[in-house]
Amino acid sequence: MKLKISIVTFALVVAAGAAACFAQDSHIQDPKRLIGRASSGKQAYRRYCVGCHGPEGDGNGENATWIDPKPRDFTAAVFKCRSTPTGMLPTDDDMFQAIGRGFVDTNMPAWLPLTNHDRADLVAYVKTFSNRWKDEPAAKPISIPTEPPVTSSSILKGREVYQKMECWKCHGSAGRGDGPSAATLTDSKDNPLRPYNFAVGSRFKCGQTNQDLYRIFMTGLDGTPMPSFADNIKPEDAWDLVHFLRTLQPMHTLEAKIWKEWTATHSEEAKALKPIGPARLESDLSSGSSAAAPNVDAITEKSNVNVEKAEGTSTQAAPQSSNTAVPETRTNGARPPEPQLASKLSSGDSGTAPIGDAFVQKSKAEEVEGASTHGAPQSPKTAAPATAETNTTTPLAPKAPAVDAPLRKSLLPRGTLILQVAAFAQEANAHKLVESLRQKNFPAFLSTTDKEGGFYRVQVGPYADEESARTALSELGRAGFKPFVLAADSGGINRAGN
Amino acid sequence: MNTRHFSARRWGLPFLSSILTCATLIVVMVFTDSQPAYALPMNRALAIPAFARKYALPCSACHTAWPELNSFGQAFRDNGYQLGNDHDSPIFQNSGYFPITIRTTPNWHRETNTNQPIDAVSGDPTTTTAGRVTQHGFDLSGMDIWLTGTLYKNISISVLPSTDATASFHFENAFFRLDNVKTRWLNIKVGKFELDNMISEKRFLFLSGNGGLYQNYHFVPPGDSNDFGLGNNQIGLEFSGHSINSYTRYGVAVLSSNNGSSLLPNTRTYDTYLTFSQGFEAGRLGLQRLGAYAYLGQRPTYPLTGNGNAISGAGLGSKPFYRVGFSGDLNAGKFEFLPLFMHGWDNVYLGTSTPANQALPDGAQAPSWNGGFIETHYHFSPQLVFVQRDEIIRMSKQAQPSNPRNLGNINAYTVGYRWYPIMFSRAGLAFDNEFSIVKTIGAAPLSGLGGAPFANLGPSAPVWSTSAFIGLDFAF
Repeated sequence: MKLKISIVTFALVVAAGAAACFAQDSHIQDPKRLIGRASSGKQAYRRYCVGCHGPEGDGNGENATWIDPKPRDFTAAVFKCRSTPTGMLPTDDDMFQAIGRGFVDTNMPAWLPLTNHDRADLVAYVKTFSNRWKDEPAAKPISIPTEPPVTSSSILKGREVYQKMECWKCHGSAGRGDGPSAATLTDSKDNPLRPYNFAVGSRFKCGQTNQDLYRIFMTGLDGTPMPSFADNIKPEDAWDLVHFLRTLQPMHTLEAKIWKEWTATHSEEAKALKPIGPARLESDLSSGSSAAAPNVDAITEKSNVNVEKAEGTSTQAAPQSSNTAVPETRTNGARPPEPQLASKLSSGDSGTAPIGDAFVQKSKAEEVEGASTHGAPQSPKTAAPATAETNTTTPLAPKAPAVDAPLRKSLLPRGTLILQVAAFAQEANAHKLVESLRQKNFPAFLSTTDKEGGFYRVQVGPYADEESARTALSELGRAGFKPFVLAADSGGINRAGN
Repeated sequence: MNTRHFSARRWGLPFLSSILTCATLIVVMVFTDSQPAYALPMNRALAIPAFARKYALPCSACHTAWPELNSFGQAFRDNGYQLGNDHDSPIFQNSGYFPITIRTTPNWHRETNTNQPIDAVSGDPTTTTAGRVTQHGFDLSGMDIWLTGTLYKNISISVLPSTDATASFHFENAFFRLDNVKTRWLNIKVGKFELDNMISEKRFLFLSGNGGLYQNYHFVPPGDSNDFGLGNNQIGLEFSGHSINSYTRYGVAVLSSNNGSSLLPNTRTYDTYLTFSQGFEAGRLGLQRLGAYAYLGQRPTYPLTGNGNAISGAGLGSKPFYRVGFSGDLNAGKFEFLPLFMHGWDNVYLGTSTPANQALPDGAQAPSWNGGFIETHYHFSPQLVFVQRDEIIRMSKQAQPSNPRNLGNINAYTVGYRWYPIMFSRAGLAFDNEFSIVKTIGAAPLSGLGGAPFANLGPSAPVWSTSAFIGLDFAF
């Protein structure tokens, strides 16, 4: 009997050891099948990576102070470039390719001169920094349908998608990364970042092919405000968007050639095209067009799903910016001129500084509408006035975010503050997060403020004054969320600062 | 003691023996005589912490052990000192960025040479005898002040004023490079630069007096007038190209026939240097590179004169020579092997130092030789590397039929280690400790010449030279 127990125990130990070893391996499929070993990767990591990513993999290497954007924190296991759905871990091949490709607008060079084995070993070692690799199942890459032919019709449709999905808010009307929200964007660690500038013509953060661009839409760039559009646009629409975006680049692409030919042969139609961006929205509003885009917050649904997933495992993985859809890019290392949230909060400048992402909205209001800078109402006494009027004309919320009246409207006295944590396309996901927040003693509730778009917003509150809202904001931040503030008035909920 | 030991086991010394020998050197070197020390060789190995500061990468990112480049560093260099990101162009740099590297090596070293002419009675030159000279002491290596980098995207420069230990400057290199001219397969470099040797003497891991140079890169047979050295930086124009990971590389250079000297000192002819190398992965062994090279040159044999004086840059009677061979960079885990083979040939006029407008000595023929080495590195970690090198040169044809067959032969052996107590992206420091021993036959001033006043020394008598070196090699 003792012998059997010993054998079983030994077998279990061996199996556990084997599992642990296996977990520290990487399995590369492309360009050829390779198995990376963490033990070997440690040496390569020490040689090549430790200066930036740090010995603990937390992105705090000796050079991190001087680097912008900051090095990736491997302990959080949140990666931008994935072939897997948002919120999921990347595949080993994703990381393998990322090491070889580098990130053109960051300090991360292309480590292509390293051998495939070296890169596979590095992948294996990087995976040892977070338990997510052991606790979570391996995700499968999304499927990418065959690219349809590039036509002028496809490009025109893509142009409409660009407008409808409000890509311009971050990437700008001409794709130059200068949208109204561009200067306010931050990553999951509150480091400022810039949206990709298509006019530069450099390769994208996660590749350079049309398939890569398609994949970026559909997986999002976790850890940045760029969400996944997998639930928001159809694959054919995504391909149309790819074709349109290629026309914004200065290279001699097939798309640019077709677009140029079309505009030359259809000059009248080209002139008649509605402009992209805020002018278009104003035009639509004035003409009563129904082509308005869904609320920008709604399309962050996928990155908020990521928050939700991460919440169950590690709060480090959770933070996701909840503002707009933008890939991280920094062209010259310059930080956006807008002050950081922390500095705003610490300055006590509550009379002018909105809370959290609210100042993003302030920027939108100023830049999009050309409106005057009216102080961001932080306290119940000042929050409500003027916002209702503003929202009736703002292009940011062409469909005024009407509160789900049966649910909450009557409970929200004018001037109270609410924190919006996430928005989901799937009601079940929203309920799940509400329950999770309530278990943590946050007064969470569900609000469907954009029924037409089918998005379900998870909100916390209401708070009667600014101080209590700030306290809740901090607590949610520590819990890994990045909520922003809404102010309620008699007409519903409006963003503070509008 | 060491002389016999190394002589008896010239080739293929066990690695363990090398380590033990190296470790005992420190003790042995204490018990030596005290005489003035020779200056160290001028072949300075180079690394550029300015790039580490610019790109925020540790030394080990580009160097197996600085200054030797690894595959990533080679690709970086091939790309014109650019990583291909936003940090390449100076306009994207913080204005405090300082693109200059300074390097020097305070050291203690010991040199010995056998069969040296020594006055039997000090101060009396009439009683010369052959003896052993030993020198040692603290010393300086000279200094490099290297400005290098990019003027703009795909425009690179390098200026390297270098001094000897007395601060006498010369330009070790100075060039301008157009990178990626339409394609990475075309880069154009003009100026004075290192030849595209796959095994670089400028970035190797040896600093001692005898071990701090590749004998093959500077060898010419005794009595030869050719001044060429493959390890010397040359002046000219180079076209080069490489694949995206620099596994495939080529270079074609057109160079003035003056061995890198400025002011047109020799002739109006030009040399050509061709290189090609290919790297390939060998599973877990790592990256392997194989390459071939050929230097085709010519040198004048007599000058154009005016009033009996040679006119600079107007040499006449140029005669050809060549150096061809292949080399490798082979990896097996933490071991790295650098083999090189060279075949050399000089025209008979060069080999006998005969002006082309004069008659050759009877029986004279073009000298030729074969040489090579194998260098081994054991990279214990990015901060500690053990090194050794076996080198050999064998004459196959003597220019003068009366010469002994082995006149000019060389055996050289070097062993050591470099320890990098700090490895940051701001500066570099290495503790370098090595020992080298060289056996030459036919080297000036005595060996091989025979006759008076050392009748006891035959023409094949060797000179044994040893170097021991302890230095702090730093760059900032």
